[in-house]
Amino acid sequence: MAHDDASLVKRTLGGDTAAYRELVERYQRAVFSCAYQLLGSRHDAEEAAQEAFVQAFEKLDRLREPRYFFSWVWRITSTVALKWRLKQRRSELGLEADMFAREREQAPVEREEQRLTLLQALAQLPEEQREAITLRFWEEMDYAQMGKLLGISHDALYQRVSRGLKQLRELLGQDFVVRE
Amino acid sequence: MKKTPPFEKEHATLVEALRRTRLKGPDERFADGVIDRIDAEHGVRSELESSQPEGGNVASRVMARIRGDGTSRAPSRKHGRRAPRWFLPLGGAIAAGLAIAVLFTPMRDWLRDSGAQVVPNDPAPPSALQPASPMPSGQIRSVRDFGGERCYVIDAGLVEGLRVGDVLAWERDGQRAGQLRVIGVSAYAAITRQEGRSEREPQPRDHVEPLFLTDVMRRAAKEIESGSQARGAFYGLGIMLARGTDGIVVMDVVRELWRPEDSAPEPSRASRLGLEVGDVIRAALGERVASEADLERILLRVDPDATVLTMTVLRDGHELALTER
Repeated sequence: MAHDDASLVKRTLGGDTAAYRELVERYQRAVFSCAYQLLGSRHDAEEAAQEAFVQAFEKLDRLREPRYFFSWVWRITSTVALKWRLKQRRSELGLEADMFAREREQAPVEREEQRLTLLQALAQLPEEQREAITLRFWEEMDYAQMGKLLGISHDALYQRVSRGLKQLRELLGQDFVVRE
Repeated sequence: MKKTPPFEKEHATLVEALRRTRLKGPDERFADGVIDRIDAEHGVRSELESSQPEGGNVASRVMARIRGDGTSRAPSRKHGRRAPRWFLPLGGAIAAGLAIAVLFTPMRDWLRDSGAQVVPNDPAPPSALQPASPMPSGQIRSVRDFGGERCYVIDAGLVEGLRVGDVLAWERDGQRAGQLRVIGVSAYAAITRQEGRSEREPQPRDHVEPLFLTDVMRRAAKEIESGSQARGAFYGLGIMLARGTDGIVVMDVVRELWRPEDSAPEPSRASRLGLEVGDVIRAALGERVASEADLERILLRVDPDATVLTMTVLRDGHELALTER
């Protein structure tokens, strides 16, 4: 039987690491996606996502609303990934401009370029819109599931996704086309 | 069948592109890696571990990293060590006995005997899930000698709201062991020295957290916890902002930063720009700034190290163009 997030958080705080594993397995894909949008490399995204889950474990006693664990860990992931990115900037000047280069080499050029352009645009969206779009189109959740997970109304979610899509379209320009 | 919202239909090609860019999940041993890291640092054994085969590449890599430079801290450690298993039934029996004794003792007598005072509307003790306020914290990363003085580099800095002069408590095994004072600060690190007498010497991995929470730290901690992209309280520039009636106002400027490489202070970017407390930021790099989110977006888009920053501010009723020197 699937346990809800709040009970898993409470069990984790009681010392049950298996409960935390369940939370990690439940959200690892979405958290990884969040890191990937900001870092553009699978390797870095995996490291950052792991770091985020470890930090979330360490700060779990500060989580005010255990049922919104996902939203909270998402924000921790963003912070970890952004810090990571800024540190990279400082230590390796010029890396930022080519941060997607490693991924680019490994896939068919046109389709891959489109994917990377989209990822870069996604990374520029405000946090809440990026979160909603990821859940809706990458995690294939419906609005009811998203509302329950994030603790916000359908209307607010509609607004976030709608604004996010609009802003993405602006960032990508009208010339952006979907390639088969 | 569920209806597709009209805005999704309107952006159908974009939605399709998004669905196609859907990522494959992380490595299949990802969760093992997280639990291994937590186990390694906290000594907590996962119930599932015994039923799992030996960790794969990610897990081993993470284990090696953690064992080398452990960075974790158990959530429950702050509130005391975990009780051994035998303690639970014994503790339960003692608690039940006490409860019965209290129930059958008139409240007034009990208070008089215990010397306790009745406090009207005494608030309930804070729950573990409802801390009073977020707290920036970090760890000692290295011990160095600067000018013949023993100093401790910690992995929290401007982003966490630390400033020169702040006093931190350092802890080992969940117990307070002494105090450190910040003598230099950079974006992600600070250099400190021990203050007062302590029987023990701070060591790498010891936990540090502020002894007194300043408004800047509170704000930084909230920024970090909320996942804001604001780079902590100072935007990587050395400024703290607040929303004012005319726009976003500079509330604080950190003038000097410390460079971890040679420990020499250098002027912050805010200082090089000539920003002053009370300035209202109107534009950055030629783009209009109406909110903190605008500024964040502009700063995140450029490479801060390779860009000469420019800003337009409103000071004493006049617009001023500032250029980083």
